[in-house]
Amino acid sequence: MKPIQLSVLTEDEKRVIHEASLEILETVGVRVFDDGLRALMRDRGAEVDDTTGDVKLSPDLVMESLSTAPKAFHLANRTGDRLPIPTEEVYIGSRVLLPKILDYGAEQPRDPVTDDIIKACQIANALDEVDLVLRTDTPVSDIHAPPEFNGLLSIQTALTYTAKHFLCLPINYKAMKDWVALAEAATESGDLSREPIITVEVTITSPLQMDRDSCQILKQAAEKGLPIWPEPMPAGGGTAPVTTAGEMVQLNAETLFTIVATQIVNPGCPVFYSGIPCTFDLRTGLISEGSPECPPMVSASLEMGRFYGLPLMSPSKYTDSVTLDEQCAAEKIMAAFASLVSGADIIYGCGDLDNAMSLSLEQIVIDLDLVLAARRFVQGIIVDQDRLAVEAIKRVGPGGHYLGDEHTIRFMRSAERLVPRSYNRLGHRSRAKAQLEKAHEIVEEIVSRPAEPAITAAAMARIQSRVEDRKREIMAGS
Amino acid sequence: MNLGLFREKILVGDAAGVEALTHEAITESIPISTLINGYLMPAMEEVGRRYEEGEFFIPEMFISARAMQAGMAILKPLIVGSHIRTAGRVVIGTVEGDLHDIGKNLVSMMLEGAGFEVHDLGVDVKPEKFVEAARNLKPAIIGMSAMLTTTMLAMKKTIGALEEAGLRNALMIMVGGAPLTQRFADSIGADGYAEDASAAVRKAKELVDIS
Repeated sequence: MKPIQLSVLTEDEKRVIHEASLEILETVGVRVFDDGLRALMRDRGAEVDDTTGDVKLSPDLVMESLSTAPKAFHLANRTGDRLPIPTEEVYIGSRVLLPKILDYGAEQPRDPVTDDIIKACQIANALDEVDLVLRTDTPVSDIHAPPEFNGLLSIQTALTYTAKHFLCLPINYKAMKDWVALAEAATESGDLSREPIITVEVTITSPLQMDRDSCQILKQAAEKGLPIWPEPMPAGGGTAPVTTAGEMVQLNAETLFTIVATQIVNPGCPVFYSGIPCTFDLRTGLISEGSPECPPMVSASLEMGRFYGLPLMSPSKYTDSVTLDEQCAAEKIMAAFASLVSGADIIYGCGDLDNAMSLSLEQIVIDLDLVLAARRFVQGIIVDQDRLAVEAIKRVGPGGHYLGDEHTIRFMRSAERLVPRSYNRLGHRSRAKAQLEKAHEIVEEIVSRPAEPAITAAAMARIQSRVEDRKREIMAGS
Repeated sequence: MNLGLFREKILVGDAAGVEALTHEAITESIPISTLINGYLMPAMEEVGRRYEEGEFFIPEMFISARAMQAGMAILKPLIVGSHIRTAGRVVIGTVEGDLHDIGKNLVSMMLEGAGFEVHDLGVDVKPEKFVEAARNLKPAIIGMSAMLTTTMLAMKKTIGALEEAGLRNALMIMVGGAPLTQRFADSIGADGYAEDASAAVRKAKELVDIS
């Protein structure tokens, strides 16, 4: 349990939402576009209509499946560290690829190239507090190979230039196979259930649909015992009810459905509770992740996850802003704060802009400070004999100072004090006056160093060999 | 009868009211072209104006369009040689592998509101289904929607299929969706791209030369 948690839902309200979601799953269900997953779910007692594809779940089946979902597990990276879940610390994730890149000072974003992945990995490696990275499947424009190999080669780059844990978002089943093949090669044991170096996103198309690729991704990930995070993105007013409570009922139903499916495929498969509540802007018809309704829904969804006792994942990517401006900061701090005070175990998406359509390296640095500041709030004020510092106050006495006191020396580098990297605290003496300029200096300092692979030559060779195998498989139509 | 009520009912999205009025107007032998050109379409133009000026939200526009369509559904079978204003025929769908349909539905609705005759093929539409619709319906425009960076590649495949079938040059192709850009649209040889539903209507009018 984190030291500070705020609630937007009472225990009664959580139960009411839970019951409403169960009613939706029992009477409406989720439309599943994969015969195999439907058959598996039917075998385990789900009510399946093969004409429509609708799969309905009884409350008993939901509760039974929730009982097999582990309350604790661990993620791995390739430096030998384990990341225990749940955690009191919160793991922070930065992005290494999005459909567009916004360069410092540019007005318009551009298409990503391989070097952008390498630079984003360098930033993640240089920032100690970044525990994991995530890569969105999107084409990289400078890979001169058949388009079928684009994803494979950009995954190879990402797995080579950082050894941190990957949150992967395979956009289709083929991409999932690319991920599994290369991630297996990247581990020492070749066994992803022993070394879970990737966590896999499974999407739901709101309202209440799971497309064929998502079903196949879910099956493959669950069969391998890989950690999974469900990612419904209901947009209130468009693809979900316009009221925040109604959207929570649907999001909860969609997330629960995904969790049940993982447990049916492989009971005990690690799975997070997660979801991205959005709103549908009823003036423009565009999806908004940064609207003021999102942060309370972020909190509410995480509280529902806690209600089920499941590990929690939440994005920090909530902004509609296309640039690094005041709107971006305002939207992101609200969402990060909401995620952290609600007990998220992982917060990911540092660097994202424009509803996760574009990535800024400077924004990674700024977001990290912002998330750390929110984490500092959640750590709260630890009141114990040592920290009350009564003896130190007596020692220094009236008119003295604390600079040389042993109490200061003892605590000045502890979690008591956070030193944000990108904030200007030098006033007009600072060369970089604005936070963005300072963030840019930090980025430049990191990416101006030669980019080195973060893994061993042996691991690189294993990955390269698997890339060649996979190319042959792809050409053969797999 | 008070034909002015058509405008009132459409503006509040009262589909049942529009249906009743339409039946009454037919009983009173009011020409179909008068009903459509003089009342239904102008009411939708007013809806469009209110939306453009920020007065109407999309759901209000949606229920207005639905009310207008309730009247049109009754009138359409009766149209024989009447002079009816239509902006053009559009075949629209979300491309193969993609289930996202809200953007496509918005564009359909707004095109209908602007007087286009829209044939919606739904979601996960394979290239051959677009080809079949192009052959049978002879639309002025084919509109394709995609929400994902991978499925948007199916747009190029669909254009290729239309070319192979020898139908490409007889129609205009419009594309849209969250990950798309003008550059992408140009690169796959589409004739038009729009960022949102309102812009899609303007672009469609431009393509059929009625802007």
